[in-house]
Amino acid sequence: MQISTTLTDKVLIVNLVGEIDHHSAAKIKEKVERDYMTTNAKDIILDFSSVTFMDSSGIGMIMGRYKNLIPKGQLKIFGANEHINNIFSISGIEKIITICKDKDEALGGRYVR
Amino acid sequence: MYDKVSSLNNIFFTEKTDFEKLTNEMTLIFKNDSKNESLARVAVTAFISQLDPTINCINDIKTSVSEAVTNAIIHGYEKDKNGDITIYCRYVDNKFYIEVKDNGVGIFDVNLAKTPLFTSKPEMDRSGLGFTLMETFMDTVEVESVLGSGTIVRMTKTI
Ligand SMILES: Nc1ncnc2c1ncn2[C@@H]1O[C@H](COP(=O)(O)OP(=O)(O)OP(=O)(O)O)[C@@H](O)[C@H]1O
Ligand SMILES: [Mg+2]
Repeated sequence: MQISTTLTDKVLIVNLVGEIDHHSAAKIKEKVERDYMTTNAKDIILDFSSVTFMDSSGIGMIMGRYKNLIPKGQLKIFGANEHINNIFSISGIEKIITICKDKDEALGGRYVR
Repeated sequence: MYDKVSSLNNIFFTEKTDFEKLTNEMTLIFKNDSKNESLARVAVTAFISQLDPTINCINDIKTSVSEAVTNAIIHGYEKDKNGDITIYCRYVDNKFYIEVKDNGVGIFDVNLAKTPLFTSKPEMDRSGLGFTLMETFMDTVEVESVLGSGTIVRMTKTI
């Protein structure tokens, strides 16, 4: 799993490349929490367009970041493949976290609910 | 003469069909290191690829294997650094069977464990969805567990 972040307008965009499981979720958690603190970001956007696999550890990792983030900011996800989107709907995570089609939607609708 | 040839042909045909019956087995034993979650997925994916499954089917099985192996590592062995996890899988024609076994702590209440969103480790970023995903993606999921001696998760899926 390769994890890199960029900051745009107080939004931490997290680019994830590879597979999200229990092993890699721990690394994502560490990197996202550190960069969120040091950059003084408000919102987080997770870029899933290069994520090839995710199991329930991904749901736990997303929910964990979401809990730490509110009420300060928002968490959004974009670019997930069909299988991962299916896991999102089984988990019900879509009810609390905004799942977007692409980066534009994630950035554009930033302050719109 | 003619009859002999045709009966020989028949025998050959029957033997050939039996020989070509699709079947294979694999056993994989590895340590309870989280690095091995991806190892298990890759090995099982390679094994089922022999049946030419759809991408969806591969993803379903991959996810279920990942859930069972992760559970063995996180819950089964908890702080135990030297546990063995055994995966046994087999297919006969398009019927796929897999078993994931650990010799860990065991499950106190299997029905409770299978309840969606139930987790005994909420503090560890767990969502309690592992069994729910296995049950969604596989045709059958059976759990055999004995407290103090371990857990076996058995799953099947028609490919
Ligand atoms: N191999 C195992 N050994 C001991 N306990 C287990 C095992 N597998 C599952 N359990 C128990 O069953 C519960 C439910 O498992 P499940 O995979 O559904 O959720 P989880 O692992 O807690 O969270 P998630 O899979 O979403 O990260 C676990 O919290 C654990 O208490
Ligand atoms: Mg689990």
